[in-house]
Amino acid sequence: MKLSPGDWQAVVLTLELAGVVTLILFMLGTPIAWWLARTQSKWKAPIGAVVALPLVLPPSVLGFYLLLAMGPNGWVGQLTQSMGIGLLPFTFWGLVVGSVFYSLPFMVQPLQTAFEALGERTLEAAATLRASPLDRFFSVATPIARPGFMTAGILSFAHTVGEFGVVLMIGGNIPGETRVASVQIFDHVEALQYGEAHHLAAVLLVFSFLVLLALYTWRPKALRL
Amino acid sequence: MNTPNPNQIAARFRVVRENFTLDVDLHLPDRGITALFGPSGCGKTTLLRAIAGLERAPGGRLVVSGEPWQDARVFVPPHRRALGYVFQETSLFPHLSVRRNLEYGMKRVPENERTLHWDEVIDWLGLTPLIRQQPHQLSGGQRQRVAVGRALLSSPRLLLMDEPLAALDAGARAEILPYLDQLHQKLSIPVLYVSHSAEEVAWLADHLVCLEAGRVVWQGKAADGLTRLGVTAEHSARVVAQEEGWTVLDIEGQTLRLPWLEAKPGDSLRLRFEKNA
Repeated sequence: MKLSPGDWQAVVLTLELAGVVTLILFMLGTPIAWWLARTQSKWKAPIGAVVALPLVLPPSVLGFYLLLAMGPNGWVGQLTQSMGIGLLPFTFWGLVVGSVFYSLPFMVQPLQTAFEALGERTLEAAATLRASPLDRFFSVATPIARPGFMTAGILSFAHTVGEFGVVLMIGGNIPGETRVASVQIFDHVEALQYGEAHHLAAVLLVFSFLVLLALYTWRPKALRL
Repeated sequence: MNTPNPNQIAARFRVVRENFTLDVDLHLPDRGITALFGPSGCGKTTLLRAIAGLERAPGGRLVVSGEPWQDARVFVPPHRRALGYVFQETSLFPHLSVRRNLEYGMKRVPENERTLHWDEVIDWLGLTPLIRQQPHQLSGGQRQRVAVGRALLSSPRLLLMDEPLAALDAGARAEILPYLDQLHQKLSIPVLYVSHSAEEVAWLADHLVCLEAGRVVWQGKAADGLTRLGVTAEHSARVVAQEEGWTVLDIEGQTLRLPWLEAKPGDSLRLRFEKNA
């Protein structure tokens, strides 16, 4: 099985995208999940629903709205232009923004479950032992929720690798910039290069299977207490 | 009781819950074990949590050794209150070894503010054999001993215990009670001990506060309140001698011979008489 230089470029770009998106999601998704797990606010249900939207929304719908928002007349577009960044659609960073939204539930939901399982008692005990809220988060919540962080990271990464619709809507098909592996396969098929499509498709299939196999084999060691 | 003493603990709280209203105004002694005693649901745990700052009780007032922890303008968050809290069920951190659990609070107190030291706390509670273990390897009684030690090592000025023995079986309770009783002689800080067990209260408490449906119905010296616990009388006794299967006790000048008890001459014992139910 041999991948062409174009295929390699697409694979590397995909991994870069998924890596950057996963890192951003850790920073963005953790506070959202923490808030959702602990709040009693009436906003919990609406915010939870918004976070979960990408699970059911057609990627083209999400991509369409993002395209409008990031375009020259959208509010994000005007903001980025005024900051001197230019416009995001059809750039790598535009893809990053789209993918962050698209994969958000895969980060937030496992973390939220892990934080909910923590229990009030453990955090209260830490509070009576002089740990400030931030200290409690890092010294107690994070280590106990570590299996949740692993699951969330793996799922977010893998889900971003498998993205197609959002990329097509806001990223287009620029080699080395926005042409990720799934788009590259689409190109091969459109050009009737089934052989090339097979190679890359097989790579993605094996990758996805291995990720899920790893996830299902590795089980968070049950904390007995 | 009503003369203000700067070292006392003054607590006034009103907390409205669905099934009861806690409404108390207490002045508690600054030494010894004060038991907050009452049936389940009388508000004693809520009171303890309000004192710890774990429960927000707007309008409440709390002064501990002259320092306001809560009043109309101040609410000191729990992590800034110099208190120790022992929960009913285990609260050890599952991801840390026993040693790291014990160090958790201690490390967060500056060295020059530490009043209780590692060696003495470990020694009082007999923790040496447990230090290298993980929390899940311990029995229920051992876990609570570690929890008490962990709370003490944070050098609290007030120790709060919320039914620390309630989740244990009789054997584990019997194992841990002597440790608590000893603490009581060694600690110079006040302890608030929530319980619905007359036996524990009769054993440990110096001062007794009886709560019913969120209100204080009686408070005073534990010895004076024992009938409320179903205890008719209690005396301290000293072992005078062990002879021929008998133990000779001295109770306030009177001599009493009892079938042989496991004790050494000079030991002091507490004798308690209860009505047969």
